[in-house]
Amino acid sequence: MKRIIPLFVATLTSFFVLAGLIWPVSLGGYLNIVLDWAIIVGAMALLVAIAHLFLAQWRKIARGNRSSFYSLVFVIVFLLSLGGGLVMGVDDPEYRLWISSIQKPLEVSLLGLAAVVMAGAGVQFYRTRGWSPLTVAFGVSALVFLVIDLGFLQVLNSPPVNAIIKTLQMLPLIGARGLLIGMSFGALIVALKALTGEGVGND
Amino acid sequence: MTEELRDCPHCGNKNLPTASRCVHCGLELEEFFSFEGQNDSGEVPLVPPGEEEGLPELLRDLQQPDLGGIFGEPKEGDTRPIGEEEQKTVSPAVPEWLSRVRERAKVEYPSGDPIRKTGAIETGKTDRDRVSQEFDAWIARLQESARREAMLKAKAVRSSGLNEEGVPDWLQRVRELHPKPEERPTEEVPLKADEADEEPKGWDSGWSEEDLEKLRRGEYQEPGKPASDHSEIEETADSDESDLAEAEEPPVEHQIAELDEESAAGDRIEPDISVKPEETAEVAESEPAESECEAVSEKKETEDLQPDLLLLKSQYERANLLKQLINQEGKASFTPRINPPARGGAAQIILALLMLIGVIGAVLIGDAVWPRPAVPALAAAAFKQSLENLKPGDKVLVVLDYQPAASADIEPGVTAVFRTLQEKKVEITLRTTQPTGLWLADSLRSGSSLETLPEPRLIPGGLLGMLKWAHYSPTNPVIRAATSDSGETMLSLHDFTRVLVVTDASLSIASWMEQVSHWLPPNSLLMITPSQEAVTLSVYYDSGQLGGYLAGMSDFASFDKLSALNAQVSYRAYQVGLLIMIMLLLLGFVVKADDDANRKQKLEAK
Repeated sequence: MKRIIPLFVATLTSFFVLAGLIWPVSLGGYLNIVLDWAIIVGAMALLVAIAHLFLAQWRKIARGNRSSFYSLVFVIVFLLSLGGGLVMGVDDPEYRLWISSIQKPLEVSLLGLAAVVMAGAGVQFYRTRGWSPLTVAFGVSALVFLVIDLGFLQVLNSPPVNAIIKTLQMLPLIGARGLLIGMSFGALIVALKALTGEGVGND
Repeated sequence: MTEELRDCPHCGNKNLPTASRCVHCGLELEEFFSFEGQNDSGEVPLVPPGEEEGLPELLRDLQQPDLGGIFGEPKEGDTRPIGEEEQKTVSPAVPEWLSRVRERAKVEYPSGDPIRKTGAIETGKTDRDRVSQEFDAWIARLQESARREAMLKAKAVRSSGLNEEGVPDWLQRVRELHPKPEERPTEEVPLKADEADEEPKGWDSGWSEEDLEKLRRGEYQEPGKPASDHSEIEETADSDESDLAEAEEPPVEHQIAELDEESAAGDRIEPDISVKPEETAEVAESEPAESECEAVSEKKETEDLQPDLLLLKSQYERANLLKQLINQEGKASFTPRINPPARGGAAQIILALLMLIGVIGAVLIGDAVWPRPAVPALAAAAFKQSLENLKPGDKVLVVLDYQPAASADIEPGVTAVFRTLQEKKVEITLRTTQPTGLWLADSLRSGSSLETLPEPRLIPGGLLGMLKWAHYSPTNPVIRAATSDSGETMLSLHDFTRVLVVTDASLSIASWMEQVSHWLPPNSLLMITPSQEAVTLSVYYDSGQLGGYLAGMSDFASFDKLSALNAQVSYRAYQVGLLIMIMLLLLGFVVKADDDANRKQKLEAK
C-alpha cells in the first residue's frame, strides 16, 4: 500500500499534466493549479532538506568530533545569512552585496582550484593510466583543440587550414548529438517506467 | 512372544517389555522397564546416608570398591561370579586389554549372552537379543546425530568467522570437528534394573585417557608384552567405541553373511598375527569375524571422515605455510627491492613555474582585444539578427539562470547584449530562477554601468514556474477570470517578443528547450552561455528550436560592442592559460615515455 498510493498519485498527475498540455484551452487553468501544488511541495521539500542539513551539522557539533569546527562555521554562517535575510529583506541592496561578495569569490576560487588540479592531472594522466588507445586519443584530441583555440592557425588565413579547422570543430558536435540522442532515449524510458510504475520499489 | 509385548501409552504401538523407549514415538517407557527375575525391592543405596546424591558424589562412590564401584577392586559379593566357561576363555595368555574388555562385558552382561561363542548358532532370538538390537540402533542414531551436530557447528563457525576467545578460525574448526571427550554425547546404556545401582551412566572402556593417547601415537606398551606387537596395539587403539563393540558385538556381527562376501571380494583383512596360539579356541574362532567387522567399520568410518581429513590436511598445510612465514620473520630477504616510482618533484616544480609565468605574463601584458572571428558563427549571427529586428517598445524577458562561478565567462556577453537592448529602447523584464540571480543582477548593473536596468525578481518554483508561464493560454476564460487581478503572478511568456535565457548548465538548457521552447513562437527563444555549452546548443539551433545563441568569448566578440568585453577579459591571459595546458599535456607525454624507457633499460639489464 505504501508503494501503491504514491505510484497512483504520480501516474494520475502525469496523465493530467499530459492532458493539460494537449488540451490547453480546456485544462490549462487547472494545470496551473497542479503546477502551483508542485511548486509548494518542492519548496517544502527544500525547507525540509535545509532543516535536515542544519540538524546534521548541529549533531556533529554536539558530538565534538574533529570536523565539528567546520560544522560550527556552517551553523554560524547559516544563522547569520538567515537572520540577515529575515531582518533586512532579500531585496535589500546591502544584503545582496554582502552575500554576493562572499559567494562569488568562493565559487571562482573553486573553479581556479579545479583548473590547477586538472593541470596536474594532465601531467600524471599517462603515468597512472598508461598507454592505451583511449588515453592516446584523449591526449591527441585535447592537444588539437587547445591549439585551435589558441588562434595561431587562424592568423595564417589559409583556406585549406581553415577548412581543416572547420572540419575538426565539427567533431564535438557529432559526439554531442550522439550523447543527446542517448539521453533522450533514456529520459523516454525513465518516463515510461515512472508512468507504468515498473521498477518502483525494486532495490 | 506377541502376548509379551506392551502397548505404548502414547501411540498405542507394541513395544518389548524391556524397551526403555517406545520404538515408534520415542516416549520414555521406564515404568515398563523390567526383566525377568529382577529384584525391584533390592535397592542398594549408593550414597551414604547423610550425603546428597549428585553426579560428583556418584562418581566418587563408584571409585570406592567397598561401595560396589566398578573402577575399584570388586568385592566378592558385589560382582557376579564369572561362569566356568568364561573363566576358561580368560586365560593368562590373553592380552590385558582383551581381558579388561571381557571383564567389562561380563560386568555388564552377567548372564554371559553377549560373549557367547561365535560358533554357536541360536535358532531363535530371545527378548534380550531384540533389546540388544534396539540398543545398537539407538547407539547408531546417537553417533550419527553427534556427527551431524559436529558438522553443523563447524559450518556455523566457518560462516560466522567470529571468535570471542581469540582462537584462530582454522583451530576452531578443527576443534569443532573433534569435540572434546566431555562434549561427546554420552552413550547411555539401557541398564538392567538390577545393574542400574552398580553401573555409572556412561561408557567406560577401562582405559585411561593417557593410555589411549599413547595408543594413538603407537607408544603404548602393555606390561609384560614386547613393544613390537604393533598390530595388536593398533587393533586396540581404534577407539573406545571399537573396544566396546568388540566386546559386545561379535556374536551378532559374525552372523552377517554380507560381511563375509565383502571380505572375500577384496576387502580382505590381513590375519591378525598378534593373536597368540595360546589363546583359547573360542577366541581364535571369533577373531576372523572381529577383524572383518573392524575392517568394515573402519572403511565406513574412513568414508565418513574423508571430508574432515581433507579439511585437516588443508589446515595442516596452511599451518606449515604460516610457520614458514613466521620463521622468515626478521631474516634477510633476497627479493629485490622495488623502488617506488619517483614523486615527480621536477614535474611539480615545472608546473608551478609555468603557472606563475602565466599569471605574471597575463598581468604584465595587460588587456588584449579579443579577436573577432573572420566568419562569425551562424548561431551568433542569427542571435544578432534577432535582436536587430526588435522595435522600440517590444517586450524582452531576460532570465538569469547561472551561478556566480560562471559570471566571468558570461557577463561580458550579457553586458554587450543589454547595451544593445537599451539602444533599441525595448522594454526589458528581468527575472531569475534562483536566488543567486538577485545579487548577480545587482553586480551586473553596478559593474557595467547598466543602472537603468529594471530590478530583478525571483520566479517562484524555478523551472516549474517558467513552465507555468509558458503554457498559459490567454484564450482560456477560466484563466482570464482567475488572473484578472493578479497579472504579475500569471505573467505569460507569450506576452514577450523575445525570451533571452542566460544559463551555464546543460541540464537547464535541456529543460528550457524540451519543456518551454515549444510553447513559444518560433525563433523567439535566445540563449547566452559559456563556450563549453556551444556544442549542446548547436543541436537545438540546427533543428530550428532555438532562434540563436552566443556561446563564449568568440561569439561575444562577433556580436560587436566589445568595449565592455575588452574591459573585463584579456585574450592574452586566455592564450597563456591554453599554452600552459598544452605544455602540461606534452610534459605528461614526455614523462611517461621517459619512465617506459627507464623500465625497458632495467629489464634489459636484468
